[in-house]
Amino acid sequence: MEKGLWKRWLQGIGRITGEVKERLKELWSQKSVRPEEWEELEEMLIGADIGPALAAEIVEEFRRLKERSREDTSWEEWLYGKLVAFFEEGEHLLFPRAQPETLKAVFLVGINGVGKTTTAGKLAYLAREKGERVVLISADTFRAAANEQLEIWARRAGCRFFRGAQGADPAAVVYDGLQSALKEKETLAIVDTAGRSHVNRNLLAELEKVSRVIRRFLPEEQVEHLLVLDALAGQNAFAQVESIARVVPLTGIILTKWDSQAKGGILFRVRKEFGLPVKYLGVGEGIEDLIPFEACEFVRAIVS
Amino acid sequence: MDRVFEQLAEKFAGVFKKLRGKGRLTAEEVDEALRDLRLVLLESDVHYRVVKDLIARVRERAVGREVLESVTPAEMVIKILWDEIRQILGGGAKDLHVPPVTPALFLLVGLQGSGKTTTCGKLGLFLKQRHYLPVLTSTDTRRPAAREQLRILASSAGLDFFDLPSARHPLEVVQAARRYAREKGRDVVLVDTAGRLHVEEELLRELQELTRGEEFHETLLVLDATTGQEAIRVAERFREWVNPTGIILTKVDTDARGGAVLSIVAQTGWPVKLIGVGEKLDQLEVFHPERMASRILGMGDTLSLIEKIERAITEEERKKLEKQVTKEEFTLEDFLEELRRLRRVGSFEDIMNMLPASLRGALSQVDGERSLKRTEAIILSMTREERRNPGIINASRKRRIAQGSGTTVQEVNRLLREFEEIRKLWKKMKKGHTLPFAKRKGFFGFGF
Repeated sequence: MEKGLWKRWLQGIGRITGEVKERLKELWSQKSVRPEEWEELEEMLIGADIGPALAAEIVEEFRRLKERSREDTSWEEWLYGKLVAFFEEGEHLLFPRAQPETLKAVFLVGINGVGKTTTAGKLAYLAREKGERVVLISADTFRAAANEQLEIWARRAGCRFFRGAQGADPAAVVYDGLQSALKEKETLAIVDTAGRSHVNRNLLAELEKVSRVIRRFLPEEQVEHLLVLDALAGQNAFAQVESIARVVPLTGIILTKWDSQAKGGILFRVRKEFGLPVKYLGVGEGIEDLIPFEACEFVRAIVS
Repeated sequence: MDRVFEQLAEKFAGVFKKLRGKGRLTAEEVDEALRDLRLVLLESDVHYRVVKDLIARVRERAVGREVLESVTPAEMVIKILWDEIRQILGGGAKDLHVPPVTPALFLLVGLQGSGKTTTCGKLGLFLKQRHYLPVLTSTDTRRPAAREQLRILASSAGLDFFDLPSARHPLEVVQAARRYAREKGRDVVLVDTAGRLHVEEELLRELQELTRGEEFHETLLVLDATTGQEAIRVAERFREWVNPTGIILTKVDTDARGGAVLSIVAQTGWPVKLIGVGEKLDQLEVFHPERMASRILGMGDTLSLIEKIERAITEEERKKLEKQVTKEEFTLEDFLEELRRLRRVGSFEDIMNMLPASLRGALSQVDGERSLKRTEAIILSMTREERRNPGIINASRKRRIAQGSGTTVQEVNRLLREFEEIRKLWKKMKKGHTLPFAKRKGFFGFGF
C-alpha cells in the first residue's frame, strides 16, 4: 500500500493503539486493580464505539487473564488473538467467485449522508485501475443534483455514466443501465442509490425492488450488495445494518470517513453481530482515498 | 424492529417494573437501577463522561428523601433522570432569533453528510413561512454539484439563490451575497459551507477566516442524530475554531436515540434550535427537550405522538373511546376504529416511528398502508357477531370471510393472531389505567 494512505489508515486507530493499550499495559503491571479502574477501561473501550456489551466482554476476559497470569503470559498475544478472530483472511475481496470478463454489479446502499456517491466514484476509479470496464449508474432520482454529482465523479474516474430522469423509478433506471452495460460489453456496473432513512418502509421496499432487478439480471456471484456506513455513527449503525439487511442480501460493508479518527470500534461489532466483512475504508475526498480493508494487517497495527 | 433496541426496550421495561413493584426504595435498589440506566444511556450514544456525571447527579437526588418518602418512588428515579436530561437539553425550546439588521447572516457548518445543504433549503423555507425574505448561498466549491443541489432546492421552495462562480475565496461569496441581499431587500442570508471533518485543521481555519471576516448572527452546527461517541470531540473542535451559537439536529426521523446531542449540549451549552425530521423541505421542526429526553431514554417520542393524535381526535370520539376502555373486551370493531383513526392521523410510518420501541414491535406486524386496507376488508366481511366475539370464527367462517374480502384464509388467520396480540396489549394498558391513544398519565403514556 502507498505510504500516505497507510498513514491515514492508521490514523483512524490512533487512539485505540494509544490510550487503550497504554491503559492495558498499566493495569497488567499493577499488583491489584480497583473496580473503578476496570470501569474506566470499559468506558475507554465504549468511547471507541465498540459498544457496551463487547467492551464488557473484553474487560472481563482481560481481568481473568490477569488473575491467571504468570510471568510468561502475554496479554498482547491474547489481544491479537481476540481481535483477529473477528475476521477471516481475504474476506475483503470483492467477487471471489465471479466469472472474469463478464458483467458484475456493485450495489451501494445506505442512509443519507454516509458518502455513497463519493464512494461510488472512488470505487469506479479503483476498478478501472484494475482493468475493469466500468459504468456508474445513478439510481438516485430523488436528491437534488445527485445525478450531476455522480456524473462529475464518472468524469474524474474516466468511466461511462448512466442516469435516469429526475423522479423516475429507480428500478427501471437500473434495468436500463444494466442493459446498456451488456451492450457496451462492460465488466462492472456500480449502482448508486438515493440515501434513505432505514425506518422508512416505502423507501426500503424501493431498495428491495432495485436489488431484485439486479439479481434477475446477474447470477448471485456476480453481485455485491454493499452497505455504506459512516465511521462516526454510533450504536444506530446496528439498526441501519439490521433493517437494510432485511430487504437486500448484504455481502459487505464500506466504512467511510475513517480518517475522522472515530476509532472504528464499530468494525468489530458489525463483524461480530452481523457477520458482514468490511470491504473498504474511505479516508478522504480524493479519488484515490478508498483502501481495501485488510483485517489482519489492521489488527497487527493495533496490537503491535 | 431492531433486535438490539428491542432488547433494550425490554430491559428498560424491566427496570421500570423493578422500580414500580416496590413502595419504597433503598439506596442499594437505586444503585441497581442506575446500573441498568447507565447501559441504556450508553446504548443511546450518550458520551460516557456525560453518563457518569448524570448518573452521579441522579444518585445524589434519588437516594435522598425525595425518593424514599415519595408516594410513587418507582416513577421518581426515572423522572429525576428524565428531568436532568431535559434540563441539560435546554429546559425549554429556544427559537431561532433573527436580529433586526438587514441582512442577518446565518452560517451552517458541520461534518460531511450531516445534512447542511438540505437543512439550508429547509431553513430558507422555514423563514419564508415566517415572512422573512431569505437568500441562500453556498461556499462549497469542493463537493461536486453541491451548489447545484442548493440552487435546485432553493428554486423548488421558491427561494432566492445567490451564486458567485468566479469567487476564489468563501469570504468573497459571503460579502457579495450580503451586498446582493441589501440591494434586493432580502433580510436573511443563509450560507451553506462545505462539509469538513473535525480533524482537518486547514479546513477549520478556512471557516474561521470566514467568521472573522464577516459578522454572523448565528453559526449553526448541523449535527447528524446518528453520530456516536465521537460527537463530543466534533463539538470541541468546532468550538475552538468557529464557536457555534446553536445546533440543528438532523435525521431525527431515523430510530437513532440521539444521545450525541445530549453529550454536546452537556459539554457546550449550545441550544438546539431546530430538528430535521425528513427529506422534504418542510420537515424542519422546533426542538422539544422533553421529547428528546424521552427518546434518549428509549421511551419513544411519546409526547409528539400524543400531540399529533390529540389534534386528530374529535371530542365525541374521545368520549366514546373513554367509554370503550372501561368496557371489558376489546373487539375487532374497536380494532377497526383504531386503525382508521391512525390512518387519519398521518402516515402509518410517522406513527410507528414515534412509538416506544417495545410497542412498535407488537404493532409492526400490522404492517403498512396496503395491509391496513386488506385488514379493513377482512373485518368488514365478518358478521357483527364475529367481530364482537372472534372466538366463534371456525374454519368455514374463515373461508367465507376470505372469499368475501378477496383475501386468503392465511391472511384471515394472521389478522386474528395479530388482533389477539393487540388485545393483550390493550388489557395490559388498561391495567396501567392509561388510554392508549387518547389520554396519558405522566410521560409513561404507554404503560411501561
